Amino acid sequence: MKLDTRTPFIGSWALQALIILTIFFGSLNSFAQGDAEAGEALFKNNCASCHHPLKRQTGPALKGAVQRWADAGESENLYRWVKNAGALISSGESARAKELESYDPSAMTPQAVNDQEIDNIFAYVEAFTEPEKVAGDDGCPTPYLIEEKESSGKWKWLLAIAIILAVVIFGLAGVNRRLKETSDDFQTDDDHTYMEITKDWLWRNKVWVSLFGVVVLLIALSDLGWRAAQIDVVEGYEPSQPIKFSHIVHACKHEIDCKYCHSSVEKSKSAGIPSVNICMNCHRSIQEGTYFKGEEIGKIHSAAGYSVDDNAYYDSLSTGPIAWNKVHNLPDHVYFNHSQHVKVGGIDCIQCHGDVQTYNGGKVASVEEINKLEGTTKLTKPVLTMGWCIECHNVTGVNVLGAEKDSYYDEIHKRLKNNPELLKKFKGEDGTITVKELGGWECAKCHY
Amino acid sequence: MRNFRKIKISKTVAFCGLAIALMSSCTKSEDSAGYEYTPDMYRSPAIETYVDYGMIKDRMVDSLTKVQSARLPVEGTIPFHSDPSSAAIAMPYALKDPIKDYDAADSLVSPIQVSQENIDEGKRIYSFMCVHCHGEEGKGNGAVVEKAGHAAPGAYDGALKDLSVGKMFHTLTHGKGMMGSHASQLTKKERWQVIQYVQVLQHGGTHPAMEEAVSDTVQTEEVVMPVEPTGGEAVNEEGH
Repeated sequence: MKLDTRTPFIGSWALQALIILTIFFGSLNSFAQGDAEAGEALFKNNCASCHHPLKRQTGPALKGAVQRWADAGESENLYRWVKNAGALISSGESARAKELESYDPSAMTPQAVNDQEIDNIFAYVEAFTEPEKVAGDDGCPTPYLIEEKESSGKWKWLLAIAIILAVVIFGLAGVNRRLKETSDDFQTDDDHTYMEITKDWLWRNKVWVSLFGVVVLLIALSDLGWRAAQIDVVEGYEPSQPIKFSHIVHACKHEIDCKYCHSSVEKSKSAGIPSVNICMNCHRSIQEGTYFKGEEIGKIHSAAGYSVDDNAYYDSLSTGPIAWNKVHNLPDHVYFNHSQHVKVGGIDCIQCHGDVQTYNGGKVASVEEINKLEGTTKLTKPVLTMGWCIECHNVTGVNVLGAEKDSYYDEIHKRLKNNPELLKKFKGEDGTITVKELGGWECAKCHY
Repeated sequence: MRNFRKIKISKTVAFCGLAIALMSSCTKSEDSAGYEYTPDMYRSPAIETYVDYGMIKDRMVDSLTKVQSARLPVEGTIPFHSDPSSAAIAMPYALKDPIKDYDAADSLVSPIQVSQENIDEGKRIYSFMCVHCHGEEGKGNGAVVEKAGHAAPGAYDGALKDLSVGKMFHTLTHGKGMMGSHASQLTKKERWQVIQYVQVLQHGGTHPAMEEAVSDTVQTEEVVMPVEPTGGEAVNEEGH
């Protein structure tokens, strides 16, 4: 799937013209007495937190509401409903109000608007068309528009075909020879098999063959060495995920902070993968995405047992966790604590995770990528290896001065104040008290 | 001779098959993190956070997968705080119904004192928990509203200007309208701290309770006030 990046630009002009035209004609036709433009501001200030013209939100979709009240023969009661729904219900004068009362447990809030303003609001609602979501240029990378990944297994198939062809050719040649041997008018003068011929050829070119052998051996050895160096190095690991979630859309385009979804990062060992209720904080209202429409967001809705049509959760709908694939995985024998680093140490997320707002799913950033980012400590060892951890512990200073009163680091501050010799030793040549000097290189800090 | 050749051909085929199998075993799948020393340390049989631990000795046990491993505290338990002033926060929130109890929440009072410290912490929490919908100044124009089309919350200096702290707490705890519950993301104390900052936004930059305090200090410490802006470092030195 590849979108033409120019389309949104042209589209936005066409769209604006279309909206203006629709509003213009809409106001002419359906609600002659209302002013849609004035209605827009009123709608946004008074109604938009609960109503959408086309979508079921806290309240019902408002488009067609005028018609629905007219159908019930209560056009005039609509004004009373908007101004004070509760009063209309308790007056008992409106059958439709009674009907609507059972529609939703949350009551319609009385609105301080006059009849003309209500006309304007409904004029806007009737003229409303969903602005098409377009991928505009906002300085963020384009999510999920990467061309289909080239199949990594392609060369394997080519090789397999080549080998099968070679086998077939050899086989046919053998058959051919047998046929020639058995035919009466053909006498072969040698009875060597192909293997013998090959051996003979190899022996005659033994210098080249041994040279070739040495080269192959060297390549194999270096490859082995390279692979050995990759053991437990997970840089660039980007597993597939059950939902095509994109950090680009959430963190870059819509400016949601890391800590909103990974909310336990300051309180817990684990940063936290957001549970479905956190997704639903926004996706009750945002039911369609720009790239996959309702398909991917629908997976959240089904995980939550949520019905978009009714804006309601149902016990009868099956729910289930979203089984995200873990990206950053440390072995059991390592203890790592997010809150210690983020809350106590004040380390920014990018120091270890890189520029996540440019990734789609989760990805282990490489140390080169992280070094390019502004404000990060420059390191050399691969991310998530022990070398990388202790390299950072060696250069990162601890601000014992700014420690909270009576905290662990405040105690260290006091002890250092009372022991100038130790302080001098800790400060050393670089003049900073690093994590290493406070025990960051002790085995038992992380391995216990 | 004929048999000999046949064997040769089948041997060649077998060798090729082996070669292909070997090569394919060396390529990396997208969902594999790569070579691991001690793989059972990476995917441990012991329960780990956010790890599907249904795998026991390479065997999938379906009854263990997709079961929430994080448990809620037992009903009725309250967290222990050594500080007695936190007791009010530790008690469970009595108003359980999101809609019916909304009006009852109106009379709630904050269990924490209004202080600059709490307001600053509230502001910090607001900056990552609320800002993307409610906007920097609480006008209901955050990026999620403006760019992603989320229903717009009311402005703190407009429709929500007179919203009481109790109702705010109730909304943060249970959600209201299109806003979901944030109880899983914020502790009760953090909720009350955010509310203090929201009150600041409601009142155009100063907390109503702090306003009086400020005017008090101005009266008593009039001479000290002008020194404060430059005094920041001096305080630090003193602490040192």
